[in-house]
Amino acid sequence: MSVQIDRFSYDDAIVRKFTLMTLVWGVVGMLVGVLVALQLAAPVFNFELPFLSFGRLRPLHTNAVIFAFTGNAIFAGVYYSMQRLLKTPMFSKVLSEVHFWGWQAIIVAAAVTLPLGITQSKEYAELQWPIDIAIAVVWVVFGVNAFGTIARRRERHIYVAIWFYIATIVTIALLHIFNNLVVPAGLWRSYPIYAGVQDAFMQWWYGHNAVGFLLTTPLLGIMYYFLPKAADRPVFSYRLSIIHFWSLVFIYIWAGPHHLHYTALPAWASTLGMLFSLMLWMPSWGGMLNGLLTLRGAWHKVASDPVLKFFVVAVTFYGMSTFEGPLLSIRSVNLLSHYTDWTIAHVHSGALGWVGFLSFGMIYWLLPRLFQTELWSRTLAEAHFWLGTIGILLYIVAIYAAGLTQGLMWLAFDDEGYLKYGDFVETTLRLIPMYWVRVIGGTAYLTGTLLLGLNFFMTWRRRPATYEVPVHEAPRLAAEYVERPEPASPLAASGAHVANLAYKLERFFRTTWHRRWERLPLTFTVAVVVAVVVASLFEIIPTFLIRSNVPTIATVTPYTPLELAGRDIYISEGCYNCHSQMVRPIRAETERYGEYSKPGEFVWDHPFQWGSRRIGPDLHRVGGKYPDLWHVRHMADPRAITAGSIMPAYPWLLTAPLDVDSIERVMRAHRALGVPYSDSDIAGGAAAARAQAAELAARVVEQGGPEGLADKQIVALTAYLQRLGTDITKPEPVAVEEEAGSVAAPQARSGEAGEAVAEAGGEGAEGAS
Amino acid sequence: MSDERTGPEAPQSDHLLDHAYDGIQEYDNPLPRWWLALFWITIVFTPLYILYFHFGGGMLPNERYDQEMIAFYDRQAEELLAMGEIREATLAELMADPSMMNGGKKIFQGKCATCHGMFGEGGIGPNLTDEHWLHGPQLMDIYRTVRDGVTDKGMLAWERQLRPAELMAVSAYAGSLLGSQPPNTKPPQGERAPRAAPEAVAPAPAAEPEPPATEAAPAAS
Repeated sequence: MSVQIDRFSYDDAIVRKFTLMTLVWGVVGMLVGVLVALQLAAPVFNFELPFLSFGRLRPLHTNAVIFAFTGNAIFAGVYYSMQRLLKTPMFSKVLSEVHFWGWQAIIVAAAVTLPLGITQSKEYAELQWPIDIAIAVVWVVFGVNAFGTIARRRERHIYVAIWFYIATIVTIALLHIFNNLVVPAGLWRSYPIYAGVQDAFMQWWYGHNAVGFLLTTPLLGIMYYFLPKAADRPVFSYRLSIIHFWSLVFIYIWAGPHHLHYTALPAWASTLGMLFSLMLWMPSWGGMLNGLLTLRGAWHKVASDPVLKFFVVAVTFYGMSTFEGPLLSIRSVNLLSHYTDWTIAHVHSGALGWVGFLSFGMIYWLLPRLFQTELWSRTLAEAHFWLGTIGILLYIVAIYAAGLTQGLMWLAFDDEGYLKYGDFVETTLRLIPMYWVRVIGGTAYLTGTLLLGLNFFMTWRRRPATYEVPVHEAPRLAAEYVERPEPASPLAASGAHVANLAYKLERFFRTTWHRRWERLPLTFTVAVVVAVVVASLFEIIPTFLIRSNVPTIATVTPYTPLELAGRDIYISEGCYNCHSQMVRPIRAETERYGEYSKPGEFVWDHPFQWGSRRIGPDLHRVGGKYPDLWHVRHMADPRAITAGSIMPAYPWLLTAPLDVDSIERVMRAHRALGVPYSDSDIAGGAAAARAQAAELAARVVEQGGPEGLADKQIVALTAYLQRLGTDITKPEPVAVEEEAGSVAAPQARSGEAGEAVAEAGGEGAEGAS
Repeated sequence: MSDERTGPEAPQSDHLLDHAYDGIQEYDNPLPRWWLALFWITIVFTPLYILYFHFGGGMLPNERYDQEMIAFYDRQAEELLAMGEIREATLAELMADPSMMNGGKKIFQGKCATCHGMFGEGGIGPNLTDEHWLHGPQLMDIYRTVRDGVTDKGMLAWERQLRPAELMAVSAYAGSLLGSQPPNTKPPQGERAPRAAPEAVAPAPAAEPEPPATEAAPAAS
């Protein structure tokens, strides 16, 4: 049998492009990060400009660092390592280019739309549906390119890095698609098909696994290639790779509900989220061990090589965050940590430490190879390392302290059993010094990245006139392949008499069977999909089908047209970035905010607005808490009402005209989602909105406020805020028979919402009380 | 981690597998034992936790909350009973108690000042320092307004947010602002009505305050 030898060379031009954009977007994302950090320390940095206010910029920061910086870093690493691990150039140069330019176009679209307030308001899934479709298309292009490359490989078995890439590609596609199913109401507006509890569940299934499959698995893949390369050492344990890969992929998916402890999410889901997070600890640490123990015998190199320094710190932070994650998922710990800066510190130790440093290490390793010259300055790289490390430490120490301070202050009762810090702003003022330390830490980290930029530029300047393109040789894979027999089982060798099952188990745990899978990438991919989908469905199906998860509350009715418009403003301004709408069932919260939130209260909430962070107080029971005028004045100048508040001012809401004409379209989209607006409700939507707006504006004048607000955005937002959380205290509707001809489509969630429907619509629901 | 060859995971076998990917080789090291043990512990813990919290004696957050609230309302009901009937004179006495006034002031500045101003000069809500009153000049009038609110005018019913003693303290404090002359006062609203001395007021505490226990407890269910 003659073996055909192929000659081929790798495409490094695409890697150069992705690497450059990693740096560019990294700087942009971190710069926005420093700005939002400044805004929290001193609200004057919001500049009273809509497109620079915290609520719009925070999503820009998160999206930029996750999808732009990390995204490009991943693609650079994947394109570089995949070709070499599979001994073949990428499947298609055209697809590589489409992938690159498509991804950059998406980032630009995000950078334009988010500051304009165009958002879906789901964290890390803020981008609106046209951009989401583009993401899906570009991701499929990437997938085809990657799987095409795998299909054309000249390496029989696929290496562990490729396993992680496969898991990333298929899982991110699933997560992205199912969390972004929306009904559009125009080009830049849409509403998710899920509401309330279900929407929250889907969002955090997505949110948690985006961390898992975008910020963990692809970077583990990158670690498995670049770390042994840089250290020139074999990987510590192949068996550990197998076990930790499969357990990570399977267990990760379940853990999403730990973002929703103590919320209206059913307790069983929250329990599963916690337990699977605990089980995730060791699978995550498997990656850390394989990283750190691979360095055995190479630690002397770490002292001298900035690349390895970055890797060691990255893997250490990975270990730290993946210990902290399970810790935070424990319900009683979460009680203290949730909604506080603790979470922010946690994600930044992961993002700055693990993701950032791994990417930097990779780039420093790549630069001389991509530009075929020496790195311009090793000293500068060392400086970057130390500046970055100090930056991370300043950032996280300050923000851990802030998180603990805040959490403890929120929960503190005095000796007589009443809230010790009844005023929310007291708990904010205490954090300001720590916020300044964060600004310093973030700036140090950003400065380090700029040093990388300088090194990058100077190294690039020393590149050869034309890049050398080495030609490689490898035999083409033969059609036939006989796997080597598995090594004999020690159990069998010992001659012990045990049940057949024991042999099977023994074989399973020895993982020798896995070798066969590694040459069958299709089987392998199907197995990954099965692991991910099965785990997802175990939680998704009950969440959607069991009615008792969301007990119906008869007095909870759909929003009035004006309130809907106000809700859109709330979403667009990104209020959810600082305010939760979810009072947890603990006395420290019900004392502060009012009755705890019930699942049935959110059945018309497309999308849910529970939030994940309380930079300001919870708003679920803010309805009726203050007079209308309070909201008007507070939006115009929060510090005139609450001294020390760090909320941005929103003066434009008092002057920007309210878009009444789109209300009908918005209502129609909601009806398509099952909200029972009748034809006449929709036809009269604009008129009803104007009437309620006029009423509210008149009340504001009566209370001594400015005139002429009836057609301004502020009335809609105020109407929405005054409605929040008030439905459960309304009197039960008197059993109106099902005369409601206005029921458009019976609701899956609240099929017998007949009574609720009777109250719905134009004049029926009086918003402000 | 100084000398890697002495630790427990030091390469007992360090048996290199006979494959390499772009030059990367792999050892066939066994899983670290402590790692495997912890993994198993977290797995075994799962059914035990579920059994205890969902089918056994463990309390889930809502149940724990209900218990906490019942205990709290019991205590509050006792406190209320111990205080006896609230009348004009009770509140007037509080005005002479510096510690109550300090407490009242703190509550006022935390809760009331956003609408009535730091010194009661008025703002979104009416001025509390002049002799003009929308809901009556007596301390009991203030107390009732604070307790029940005037919801259509934007005044909250504070009964559910403040404990009984706090309600009284803040009402007495608000009453004590009469005649103080802070800067930037809001123009008078309502009728001009001087406040009568406590003895002159008929002891008629209308709308007996219900113990909150009966009202709020069902909401906790």
